[in-house]
Amino acid sequence: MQEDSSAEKRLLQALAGGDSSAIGALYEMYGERIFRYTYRMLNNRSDAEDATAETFLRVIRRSADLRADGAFRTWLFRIARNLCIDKLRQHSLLELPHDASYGAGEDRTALRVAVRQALNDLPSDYREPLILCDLEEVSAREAADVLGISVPALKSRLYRGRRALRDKLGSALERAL
Amino acid sequence: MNTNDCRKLIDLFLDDELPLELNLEFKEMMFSDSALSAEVAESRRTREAVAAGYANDGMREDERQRVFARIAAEVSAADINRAFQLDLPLSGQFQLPISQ
Repeated sequence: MQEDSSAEKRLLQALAGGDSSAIGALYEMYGERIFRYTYRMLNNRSDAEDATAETFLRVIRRSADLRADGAFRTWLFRIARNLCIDKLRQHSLLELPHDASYGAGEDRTALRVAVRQALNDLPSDYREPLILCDLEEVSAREAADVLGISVPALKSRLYRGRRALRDKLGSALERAL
Repeated sequence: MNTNDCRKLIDLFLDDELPLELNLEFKEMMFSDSALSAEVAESRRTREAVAAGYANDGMREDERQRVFARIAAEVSAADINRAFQLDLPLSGQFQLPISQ
């Protein structure tokens, strides 16, 4: 962890100094997480690819503003989230469908589909904290920063979201047992 | 304690956010209260189902390559652009000769 953060610091300093090759190493560190997060937000792998690439390109474009103060990951998630919100807005205008299969070649058990459907049906105020905290395992403090809300507000939304999800999944869980 | 408070407590317990003493007390309560124990089990099951539902969301190799190729292409285009701008004559040495 210590090594990771000092490596990250060096990479950010290099990037801020104009060395764009550092983005490759940052992509190695965070590309997978950002893809997973954007896919969970967008439910479409192709859109998640776009959002992931654009997230890192925005990092390069704003590299002069980079500060190696430990908040990089939060900033990265915030950029990815804004891109996802833009894409979701476009989708709602164009009425584009989500990935029907949630990824080809994967298990499509009834429970899996029910879980994803239940989460997608939640209002974004509940869905986003659940994605960040329960799926991405981001801390409450960091998730609150990404979403631009206080920690108590985050916890309250998380609690309500978990309740709503549990209520929605109740019968599906019983059938799966 | 009402149902809501109880559920919040369960969330804190599952998040491992209860202070140590309260955590131990909560565990003891679970042993003696089957309704509480069932509530905890149900909440845990929901969390596990959600985690399982999203377990295979990782990037595939082709996706990893495509995203990186796009980033690399834009970076090298920007680098070429920057290098070109730096190489541009600053003092007009490549101006066309003016016939005298």
